[in-house]
Amino acid sequence: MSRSQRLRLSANLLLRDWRAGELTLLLSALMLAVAATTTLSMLSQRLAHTLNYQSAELLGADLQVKSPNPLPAAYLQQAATSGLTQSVTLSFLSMVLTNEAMTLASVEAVQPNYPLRGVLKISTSADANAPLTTTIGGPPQGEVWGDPRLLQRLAITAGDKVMLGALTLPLTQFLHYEPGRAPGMMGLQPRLLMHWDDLPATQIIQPGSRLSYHYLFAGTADQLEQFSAWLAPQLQSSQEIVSPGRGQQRTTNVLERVDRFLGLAILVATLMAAIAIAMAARDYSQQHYDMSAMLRTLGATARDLLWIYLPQLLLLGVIGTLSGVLLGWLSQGVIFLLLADLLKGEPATLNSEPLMIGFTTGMITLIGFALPPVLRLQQVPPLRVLRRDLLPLPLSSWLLYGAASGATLLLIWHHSQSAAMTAAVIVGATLLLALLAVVSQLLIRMGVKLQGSVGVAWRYGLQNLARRRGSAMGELLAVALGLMVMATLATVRSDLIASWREQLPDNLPNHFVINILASEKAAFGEFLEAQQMTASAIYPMVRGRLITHNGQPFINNDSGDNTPQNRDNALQRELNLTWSETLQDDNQIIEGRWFTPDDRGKPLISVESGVAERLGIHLGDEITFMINSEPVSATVISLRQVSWDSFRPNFFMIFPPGLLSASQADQATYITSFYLKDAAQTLIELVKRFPSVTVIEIEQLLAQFAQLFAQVALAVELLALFVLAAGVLLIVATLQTTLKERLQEGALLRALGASRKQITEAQLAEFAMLGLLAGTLAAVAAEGMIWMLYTQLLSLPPTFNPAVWLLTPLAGITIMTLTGYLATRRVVNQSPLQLLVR
Amino acid sequence: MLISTHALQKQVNTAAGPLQILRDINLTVDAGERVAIIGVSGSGKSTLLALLAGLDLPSSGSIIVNGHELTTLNEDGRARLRGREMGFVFQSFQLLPALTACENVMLPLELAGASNPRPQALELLQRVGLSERIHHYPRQLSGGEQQRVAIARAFANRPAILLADEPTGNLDSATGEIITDLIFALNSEAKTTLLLVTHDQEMATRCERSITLQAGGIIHDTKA
Repeated sequence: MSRSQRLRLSANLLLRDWRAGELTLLLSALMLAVAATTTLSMLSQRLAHTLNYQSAELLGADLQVKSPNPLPAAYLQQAATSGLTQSVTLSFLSMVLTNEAMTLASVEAVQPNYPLRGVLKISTSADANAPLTTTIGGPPQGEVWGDPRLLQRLAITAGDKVMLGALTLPLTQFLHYEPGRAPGMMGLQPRLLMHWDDLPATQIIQPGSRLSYHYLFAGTADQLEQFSAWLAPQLQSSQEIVSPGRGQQRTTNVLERVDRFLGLAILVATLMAAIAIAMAARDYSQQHYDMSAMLRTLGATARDLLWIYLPQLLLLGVIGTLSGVLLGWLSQGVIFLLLADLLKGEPATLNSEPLMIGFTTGMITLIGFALPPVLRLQQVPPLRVLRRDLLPLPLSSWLLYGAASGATLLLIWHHSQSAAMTAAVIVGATLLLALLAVVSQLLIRMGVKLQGSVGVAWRYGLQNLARRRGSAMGELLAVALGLMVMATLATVRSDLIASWREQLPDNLPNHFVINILASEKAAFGEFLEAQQMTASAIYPMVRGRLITHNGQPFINNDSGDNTPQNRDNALQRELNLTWSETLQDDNQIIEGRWFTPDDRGKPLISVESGVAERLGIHLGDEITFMINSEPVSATVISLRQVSWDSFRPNFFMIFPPGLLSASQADQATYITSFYLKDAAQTLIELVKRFPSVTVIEIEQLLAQFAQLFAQVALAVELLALFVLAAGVLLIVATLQTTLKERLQEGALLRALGASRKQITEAQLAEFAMLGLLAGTLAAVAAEGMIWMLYTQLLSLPPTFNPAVWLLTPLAGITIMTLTGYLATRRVVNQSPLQLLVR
Repeated sequence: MLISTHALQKQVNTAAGPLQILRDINLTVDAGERVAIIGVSGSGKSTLLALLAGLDLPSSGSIIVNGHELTTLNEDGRARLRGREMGFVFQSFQLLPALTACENVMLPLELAGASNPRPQALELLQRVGLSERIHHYPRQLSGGEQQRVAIARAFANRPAILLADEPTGNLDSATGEIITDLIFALNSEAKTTLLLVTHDQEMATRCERSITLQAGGIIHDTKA
């Protein structure tokens, strides 16, 4: 037989199989695997992009370079060559005056394209509830815009003139929102935004002025990466690259969990679809035994058969994969349409990566799970034309399981890119399957024992279960696996979302207050109490610079300026230090111990674990700070994990009380945070009574986080649907494999006089029992799985879930009975004759 | 001598112990001979046919078909021999449901590597009286029509041997008669050697030789 003849025959047979609906299941499973993978990868990519974009909005750019002096023109030239958009702002502290009052303000001179990411929100009113105008671009030349707090300090309204150096300008708008106003900018003064071109006329910028240039850049991820890789080695120690994500601890936490969850969902949907593919392929293979036997009888060699079936599989793979990719692309489009209101910012540019991931997944799945059963067709004995009961020799189990495990391994590796995760999933899945297999056998036996105590139809149904013990176990396993995954995902999903919501409770502190003087501390506490405001504890705060580590200077000038340690932010600025007798609720000691009352005044210190790791500080090391021109040394007694999500004052370094000298402690100011809703009046009163304090509102920031969580939660919910679809498909594929047998039996029973009602009842009994057993098994497995995921992967507290125990068996019965009934409806609907003469 | 067997045995293992299906079959068939293999159910007729066709292997003994010792050939070798030398007609027609009548007839020719099998297939279908049905699929044809397609397929590669296993067993008597006539007519035209397994005494008498099996052994071998 020539190759072209084989191919033509192959195509012909494929077409006929397609028309006869024999390929629907295989193709759907393949499409689903690919679509799920593609959608999830695309979404994950777009989500990451959007989140980055929003972080960029907080920064006003995709990338920022801070520098005390102008950057060399060559740097900016390089940015332009890389294709980046750029803008520069200059900020400095300056007195702003009116005829009656004056205050120190943080002035920022901006160019007309400021900010590159995000918007400004302005109003002619200083009231936070006033309608706001959204705009891009700072004030026009000859005007300034100011923080509403200037109203408190200078008692001005929009249109009043203010003096800035040698220039007098009208303040035309109050600035209510501006990118880059994240907490961490301690000592924040009220903002004043001015036009870049007005700067010379103020005559403020003199040699020796303390200035901070912020170079803003925006562009694609590739451009940014290229530019920052070029720039990083050139920068001096006083210059710093700031990118979104850095310091955005909260966003990063959420993102990491979302990414893990998405990865898990992708993997689970793909593996379930892969099992469905294996089942559908087995079914397809069985449907082709007769044909293969006949072809062998007519002279076809094993090679001929290979050439007939392999191109079919390949073609099927290409069609299934391409349509899966298309479906995936469409569904992520739909999901993004649904989320359009929530997802602000530019849509991500789609690249070929998710498409490639989808395609590779499809091919790996097909080859690993569908090829072995199809290869078995080569082995069909020709004698089957005379003896229908003859089956092909079973494939070597090495080949069968080797291919499937190989494909599984590849898929997991492909998605997780982590050897540890791959190993964990493989070991876990093997143990789980073995356990499920044993338990399902036991359950079937127990179920079968019920026979004596039920009616005729039920008895027949249960007998069916007993007779088909082998295939029943397969069905039970598949359904239990599907249900387990769905139960696990549903629980994980709602717990994840709940854990995010918990981070933003209604009374989360939305104001930070700093610069509370020691002398005002008591009065300030009384004021808060009188206003019935819940505040976090009030902490003392002194500023100090880290200088030596075990006697060696932290910044090692001999090793050059650019080691990551030397450039660490913690060494570039003064750190906020505190002392405390008690450990905060949101802090956890991970190494060493917290202070005891005996430690009072001893040279000890507790260090936040992240900064300790970055700077190479270990338990027992001695570190020295320069505080108020006096060195203070302390031995590291504990490393602390800090929950930066808590929106409460937190510190990298904590001393025991009584260590700092009186002169140093006298320098301390106090910090706290509290929740206050719609009470501008209270704030004004507060600022009047305590003129030295600075109030930082983080309402905007919180709103942004709340929105972020909402969209992520919705996306996660939508994605769980894919897993559900894969589960249902798996159940249908499983039922399909016994459908033929059921059809034959049903026809025979009807020919022997059984009513349709009796047969239906018997079938429903069998399915319901199978559903109940599968659901129970799934509940046990899901609970174990949830526990493992929470403790090992997601760092959530483990939970006990009564809903899983109640709903999973119920869902098992419902899904199984319904799908079972729909899939095998033909058993009672088709004429017995039609079935029996086949 | 086209086919010969020597001391052919077929034994299978069952739960109740070994079961002898064929015992000591020594048989020669000359080219062009028409041989009916008859016997009651379970006498081993179909097993003998399967062994002669190389669809199965004996437990011991030899089978030589057109000079080839079947027991020394592997599965693919026997398949090639079948494709070259044999045609088959089965009780259950065994057409490929995915192919049309014409494609079913073309199949053995294609498997043998024929470059343009269609005209020959059409000619054969015309010969069995189905030129109007060439594009029909098996499920669109009656039993008799399906068997006629199967006969056309069996003669497609001009086989030296035609093996027929109860070819009228699934048909009513009138249709069975038409099918019988067709097989014998085509057989005469092509001068094919015919091995016919049947229950039908009347059909058996149309062969010049009949071999009767009982409990796996030949009890009569009569030539008309």
